[in-house]
Amino acid sequence: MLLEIESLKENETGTLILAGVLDISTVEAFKSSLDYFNNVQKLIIDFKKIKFVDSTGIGGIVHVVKKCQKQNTDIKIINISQEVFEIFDILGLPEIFGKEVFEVTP
Amino acid sequence: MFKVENKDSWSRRNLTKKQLRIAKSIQDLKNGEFNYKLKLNTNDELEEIAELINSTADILKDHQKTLEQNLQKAIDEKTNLFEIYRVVIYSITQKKLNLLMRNEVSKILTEGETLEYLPLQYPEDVNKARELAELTLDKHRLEVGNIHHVKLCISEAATNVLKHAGTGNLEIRKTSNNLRIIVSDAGPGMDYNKLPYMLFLEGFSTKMSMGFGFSIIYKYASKIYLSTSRDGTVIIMDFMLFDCSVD
Repeated sequence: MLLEIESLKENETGTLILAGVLDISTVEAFKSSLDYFNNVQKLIIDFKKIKFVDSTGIGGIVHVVKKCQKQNTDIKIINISQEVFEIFDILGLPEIFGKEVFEVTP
Repeated sequence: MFKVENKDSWSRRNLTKKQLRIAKSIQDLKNGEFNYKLKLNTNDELEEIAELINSTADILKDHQKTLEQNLQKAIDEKTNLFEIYRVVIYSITQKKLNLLMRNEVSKILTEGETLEYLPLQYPEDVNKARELAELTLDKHRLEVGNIHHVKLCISEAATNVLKHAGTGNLEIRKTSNNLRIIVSDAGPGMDYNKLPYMLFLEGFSTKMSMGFGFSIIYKYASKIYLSTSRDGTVIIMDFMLFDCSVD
């Protein structure tokens, strides 16, 4: 598997720690990892060990963020590397979902 | 042991021969052979039938000629339209995107030398393709402006193959100035009419709904050659190489 997913739930906060790549081979696993977090108030997705995301991966992120915002779950994607964030930016994710959702590694 | 033919039987046989010739002419018409003229000179109804066959052949020949001319006209118009379309795309993209006819591709495909080759079949192959590009650059001590951008373009093109064509191939080549990535498939082909939307329309929804990371390829490749038809698609992406032999 090119993507390792670690799911943690503590009180009302869920944390997804991802390692690997987000592309056609892993995007479905990423999308379904959301099922583990029912009714959390806050979801943090840690991208620290994500090395690569392409437009298919972005499609998966869009799916996840949309679902969270619909359920009023406060979602944050943190530790996005500059390199990976470039494609978020090109495809306009911060404009669509709010700049506060994405936290880039300085 | 010898046969004597009386006049009556001779004329009957003669008649049959002419009938056979008429039948043969009709057979010719059926086969699309319109040039033969049937001449009977019998001065009777048979000659009239022969004339009728001859004039029918002439009419059919004219029809066929008109149809062929119209078809050629349609082909010419289509070629002209494609020519206009590709000039427009080429100039709007500042000479970056070159649309090619199928028969024009081979020159681009064979330029330079081949470095690596990878069949694209499974989702994991997209990652393999990206890593292969990185390894190949290292191995041949080649340097591009931004390897991450090359990997993104490979990812988009390879994913597109898997999504729309099922299987395909990736080839990494080196030309005098460029790293050349060739991604090909035998799928149903791209719709040229959607290109402008993918390239020039702003906005996430447009780009995503097109289901093709083409805008990303367009952004990062130095040059793109694209040929697509019902027989498949070839996309060729060039990335300018920097000379790393110089310190």
